[in-house]
Amino acid sequence: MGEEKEIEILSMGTRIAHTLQLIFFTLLVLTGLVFLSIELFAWVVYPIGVPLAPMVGLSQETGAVTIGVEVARAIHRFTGPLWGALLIVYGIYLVVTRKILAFEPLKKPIKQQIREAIALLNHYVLGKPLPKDVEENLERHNVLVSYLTIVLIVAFILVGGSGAAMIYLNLTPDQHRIMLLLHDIGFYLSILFTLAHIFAVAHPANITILKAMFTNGRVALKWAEKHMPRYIRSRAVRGEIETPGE
Amino acid sequence: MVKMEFPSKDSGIAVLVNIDSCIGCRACQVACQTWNGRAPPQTSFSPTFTNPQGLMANAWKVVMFHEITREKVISFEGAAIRITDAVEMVPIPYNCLHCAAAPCARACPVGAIKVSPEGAVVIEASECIGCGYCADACPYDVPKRGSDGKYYKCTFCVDRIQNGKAPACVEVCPANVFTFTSMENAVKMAREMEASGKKVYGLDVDSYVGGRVRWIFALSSDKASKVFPKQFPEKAVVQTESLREALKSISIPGLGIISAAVFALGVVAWRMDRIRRIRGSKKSGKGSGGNGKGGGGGR
Repeated sequence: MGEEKEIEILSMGTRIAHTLQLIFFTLLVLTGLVFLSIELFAWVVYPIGVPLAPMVGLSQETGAVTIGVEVARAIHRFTGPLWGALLIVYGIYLVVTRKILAFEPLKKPIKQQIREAIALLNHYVLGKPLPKDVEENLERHNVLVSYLTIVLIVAFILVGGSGAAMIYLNLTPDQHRIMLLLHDIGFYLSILFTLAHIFAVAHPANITILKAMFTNGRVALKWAEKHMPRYIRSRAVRGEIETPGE
Repeated sequence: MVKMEFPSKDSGIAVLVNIDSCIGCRACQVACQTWNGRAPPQTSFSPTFTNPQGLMANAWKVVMFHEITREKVISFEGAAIRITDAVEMVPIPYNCLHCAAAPCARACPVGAIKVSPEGAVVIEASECIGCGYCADACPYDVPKRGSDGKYYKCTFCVDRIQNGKAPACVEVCPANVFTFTSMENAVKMAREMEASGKKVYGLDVDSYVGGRVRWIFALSSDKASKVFPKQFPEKAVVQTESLREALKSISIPGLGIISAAVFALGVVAWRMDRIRRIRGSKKSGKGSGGNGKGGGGGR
């Protein structure tokens, strides 16, 4: 059995950035959920608060959640700006090095985008095979990823901008109220993105990318030719990989 | 936004404030300060009698002096003659209104704001984490941040009322401005005042605060038309907070349903993929590799 040819589709930098995003985002979601809905998420902070409550003179019965939430708040306010800084640095890096590929499908005519989106939804949700023309024109990311990326950017701007304003600016009560509302809206959007993202990466069609993200960033060339043919062709044209099918 | 059980708006206690009787002596303000052991706040000169200028972490009750002008008219030979516009002071002893369904208590993420069976809304300072969500949620601008980072406000003298006493401010008033009674009685008296031509604030307010507050204010309608709009919000609602609550009530179950749907779709997708691979391997007579999945484009 000969060794299968592989190509790198996720660089080391991308994988590190993604892992950091994953850690920061999870931390922020967990600590933020506590504030959004303590009645459902008190269990997140309760184990943290149990040993700490007696140390500050509160009973474990009533103080555990209070102290736990206080710790969660501190983590949220510390992690948020760090995550924001990471996003800004990573965003600048992607723009400067022109490595943003998520919007490539948006260069296609709108009719073609809609056709691709419907075909992909039918494929993911109903298991229908992709039409030939759609399959042959898939980029590194598909059009659904482009749309979801827009949702994510809007969510991050809302959640990051309002969060930074609440921490660093001396807001009036009315301004603070608006920021809190925007923070919530941004959070809901980011969760919608996350659910769609998890569904997509855990789908059998994409599980190869998930494995690549958490290993060496490489996938089989054959698989890539089938799932992102246009991207592979463009890389072949640039001479980064051997001509597809070779 | 915590789900809380509030006492019914028709039960518990209330205070009816007959502002027309208030002489603006500020005895209530001082009594509140003294009973609750609050340090005197730093005051400053200002063009009004109100001092301090509003509620503070150490000033849970402040008499707000409103200046209004009223025509002074005399009757002469059957005709009304306007003499002058006279300035009048209308003092309003102001503190937390103890909403029937306190939005501050709903907003507190650690449940530090307790509602007593009598309806007193109390911040438990030892549990407060200083997030300020209560202040954001309050349409009456009541909770204030103290120098220790925690939020403070009137407690309805819960320690007194649970021991059969009236709140300190009520007890000390020399003009009997306050009637401390059951909510049922206070509503009855307020309705009677309303029927006699006075304006009443606090009986039929927005559902955001539970439709009613436990400090009900009555004032002659000619003064009230000028003073109430300055003292009380037109709508006792914080729109952004109300929207947050509405969003939450939709989003939390909505996201739960979407998560379940995503999980179910994922399971179906894997099941279908497995069936397809088994069929494919039967056709070709040998097992297919791990990369035999359907197309779909990069994530």
